[in-house]
Amino acid sequence: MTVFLLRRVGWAILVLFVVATLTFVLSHVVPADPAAFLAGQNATADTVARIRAEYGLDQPLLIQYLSYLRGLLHGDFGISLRTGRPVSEDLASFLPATLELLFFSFAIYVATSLFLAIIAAKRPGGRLDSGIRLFTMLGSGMPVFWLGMALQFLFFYKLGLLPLGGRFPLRAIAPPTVTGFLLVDTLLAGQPGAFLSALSCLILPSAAIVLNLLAVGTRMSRAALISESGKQYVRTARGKGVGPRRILYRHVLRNAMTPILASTSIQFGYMISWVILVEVIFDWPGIGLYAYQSFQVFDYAPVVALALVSTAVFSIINVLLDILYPIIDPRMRSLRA
Amino acid sequence: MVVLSWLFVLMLVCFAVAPSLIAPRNPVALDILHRLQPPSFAHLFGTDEGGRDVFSRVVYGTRYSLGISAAIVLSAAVFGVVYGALSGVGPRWLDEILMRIVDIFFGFPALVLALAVAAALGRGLTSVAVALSLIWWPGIARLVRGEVQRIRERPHVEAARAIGVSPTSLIWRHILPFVMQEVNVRVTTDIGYALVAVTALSFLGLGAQSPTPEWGLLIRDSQDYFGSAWWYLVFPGVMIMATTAACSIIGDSLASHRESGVAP
Repeated sequence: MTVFLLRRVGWAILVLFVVATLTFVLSHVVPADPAAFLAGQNATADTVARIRAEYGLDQPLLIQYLSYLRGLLHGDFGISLRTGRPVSEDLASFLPATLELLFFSFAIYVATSLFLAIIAAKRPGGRLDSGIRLFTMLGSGMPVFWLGMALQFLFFYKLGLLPLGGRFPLRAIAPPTVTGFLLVDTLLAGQPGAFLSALSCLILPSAAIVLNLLAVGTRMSRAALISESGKQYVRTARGKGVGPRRILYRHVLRNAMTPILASTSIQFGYMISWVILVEVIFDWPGIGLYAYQSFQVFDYAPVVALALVSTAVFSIINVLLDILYPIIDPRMRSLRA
Repeated sequence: MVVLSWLFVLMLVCFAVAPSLIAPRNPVALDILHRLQPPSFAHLFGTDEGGRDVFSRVVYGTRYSLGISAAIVLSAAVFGVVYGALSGVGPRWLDEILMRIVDIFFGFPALVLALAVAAALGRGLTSVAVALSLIWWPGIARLVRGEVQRIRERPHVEAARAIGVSPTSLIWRHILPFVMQEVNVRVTTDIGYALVAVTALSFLGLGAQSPTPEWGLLIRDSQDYFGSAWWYLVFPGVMIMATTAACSIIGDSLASHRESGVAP
């Protein structure tokens, strides 16, 4: 298990290294002169030279690359030209919002897709099964950014039920920051009203993400459940007189969990990408919106940071899921040792 | 459904090839007096904030949105087929190296990487095309490699080898034709998904720039107005959805055709 974990972590580091190198090469080699680019159109030759020295752009490319990697290892992503602050500080203030949206959506996604799959797998081909399929296909057929705007149109402009965007109503008093997750912080501060308004801001962005991904998740889980239900041990259990509920929760679900988990980790990659898009639509103050606002003004460091951070989050989640496999399915323990 | 999908794709091709014959108005000419008009016979899809005809913009946009998507998937397919075939028939060590490289690409959220690459290359549809091709080929390469390894175990390949067919001809005449069936299905479906990715990057402002009538950009531009002008948001979106659906329906029909055992 330890060897396996070390290999997985080593792999994650390699992937991060590739992303770091790729983004470095693109940002330093592709624009003919990054210093002129940074200085702007009307800069004098002096200014360009000063900027070149300031950013170390007069050094050989290899030296620049090494110092860039050294910086990354120390958590230094450079300075954002737009905010004038170190990107790492900006990230620290924006990341909790992204993670809150990501984890909230993920929890809803897992619960909903499993719930729908259990209902659909009860009678495959039945009316409920077809209904669920149609509903989930409809969501996945819509591009997530369009779906987000359609939800805004319906629930804000037409029905006036939910906020258009943002993370917390402007007039409301924000709770003291403990975890950075507003849902948790409002509860810790004992402000149920604030909790509800934070929740109301979360509903539409996460609904857009979940509705878009639901089709694949439900289909995978449904297939896993149906294939498990057809196995001999289920027949034996039924023959012994075990109730349907117990068969489902104690036997079928446990065995179906492994393939379900495998599809979940792939879906998580999409979920991270969708969160970035949805943040822009719903004005959600996370790292996606931060990077988006930065590259509108040609500020590139935050975009690199976004790529690295989201890859890191993705890798961590994948390692965690890999740890989960042997916990859920003891048969995998011996194989991985 | 399949026939309908083909007809829809045919219509899109007409839009892309000869937009001037179909679109009733100039897609970029401003007409401030008729801004944000709801759909009518004069303006089938309504007008935008500059009074431009949304239908004409959608028709002209087909060339950009769908053209770029097709270009991305096709270039990724060409590279992916060569790469995957090399991995599938090459020596064990080469296969190992090539597939580890592909694995790296599955290690990060693809769209975020494409976003970073497109942002680095500068705005424009070319950047979007390069960025998305870069993340698109590994999936196809993995598919091709698997198929090549499956097909090369078949008796007809064994027979061809036994009568002394050269390795090149073995790949070209006896393995790739089967693999291509699989690739065709994938390419067809993927064009729909690439369209979603292209429009997403354009929506973020990385792709086409105003006033190019690209579908994703249309949706981006509608952001400030759709609360009172639903048509501005709805029609470009419906076009994306219909195209994606048509692509996956056609892809499915190609897949079932293949399963029925019709050999090339």
